[in-house]
Amino acid sequence: MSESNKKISLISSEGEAFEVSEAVAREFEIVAHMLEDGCSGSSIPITTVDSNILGKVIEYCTKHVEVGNVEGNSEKAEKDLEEFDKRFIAVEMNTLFSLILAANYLNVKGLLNIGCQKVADTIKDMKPEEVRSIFNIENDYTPAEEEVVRKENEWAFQP
Amino acid sequence: MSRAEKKQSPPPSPITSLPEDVVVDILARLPISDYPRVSLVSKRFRSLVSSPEIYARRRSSLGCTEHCLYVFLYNCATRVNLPSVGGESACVVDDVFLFFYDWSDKELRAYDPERKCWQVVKGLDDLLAEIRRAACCWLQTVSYGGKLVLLYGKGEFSWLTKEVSLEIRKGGQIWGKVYQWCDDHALIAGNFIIRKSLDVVL
Repeated sequence: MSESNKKISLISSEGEAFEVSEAVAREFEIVAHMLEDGCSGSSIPITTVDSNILGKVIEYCTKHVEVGNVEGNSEKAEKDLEEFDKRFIAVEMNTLFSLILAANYLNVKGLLNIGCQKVADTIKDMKPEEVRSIFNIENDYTPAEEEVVRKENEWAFQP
Repeated sequence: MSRAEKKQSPPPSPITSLPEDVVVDILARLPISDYPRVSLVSKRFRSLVSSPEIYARRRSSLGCTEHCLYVFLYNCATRVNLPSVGGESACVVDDVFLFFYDWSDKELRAYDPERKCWQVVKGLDDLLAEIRRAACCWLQTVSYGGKLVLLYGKGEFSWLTKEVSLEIRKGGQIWGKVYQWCDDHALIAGNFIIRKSLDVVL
């Protein structure tokens, strides 16, 4: 990856500026596209992401750029990065969903990937009511409808 | 990097604003066996886990596919004849070995095309003893993800399934090893016969 000393400011929804290297900013695919489209400004507003989450996304991207720049000892680096990802994504649900939303908007694929996997691992084997509470979803089935769906899949609910 | 931990009043829950695409991404990572439960969460979730999108594209692009065994049943409640045994109950695993249950010798046999001979699958004594004890009246072999599955009827038409992994040892002997399935007992009780079984990657 070509090293660039150019700095870019990413501006959070609260107007706070986060100065990062161009390589880190390019980890946000949305920013990479802007730069390729000739957006020459050195400050880019990220209006839908607040400072707390933007800071975390930058932390994630910075780590991944750093590791990507180190040549050799790739196996150990991969392991470290895996460990970092694991720790990084071990956050409470609201933050996790905010990170996923931001990663989706900014198009940071690696972060989106570990975020979605974390949610999937969390809701695996959960009861429907627990999944509802995690996703903040209301049960829109009438008791009769729910019974029909339950009947359809009766085999799956046997102990 | 400047960084502040400023707190502000939280925006509406980010969970409710997850785009459908992301929700599908999450659900595609769950094992298929979770889908009946997920269907009960809400109507939207039910439609998502039954959408062609999640099966046709998402699960495979994420590398989350798994083998599922589907069995097409025929309800023969009004008939009394039992399913025939023999040719129909045999199956081919890994495009190589042909398996069938030999009712006269009560053994599982495999055809080895390289040696052009039939041989008894070894290592299954306990399972075969169980099948004999249960006085099974039918048994079907099914190929499932490179393994062999035995579906057999026990007593009053309740079912048992056993998954057998296969190993070819020195000298070409074929050995089977039984995995206890968690849904080991009576998949469905009733007067059914198996019309067709299919191993599907979903």
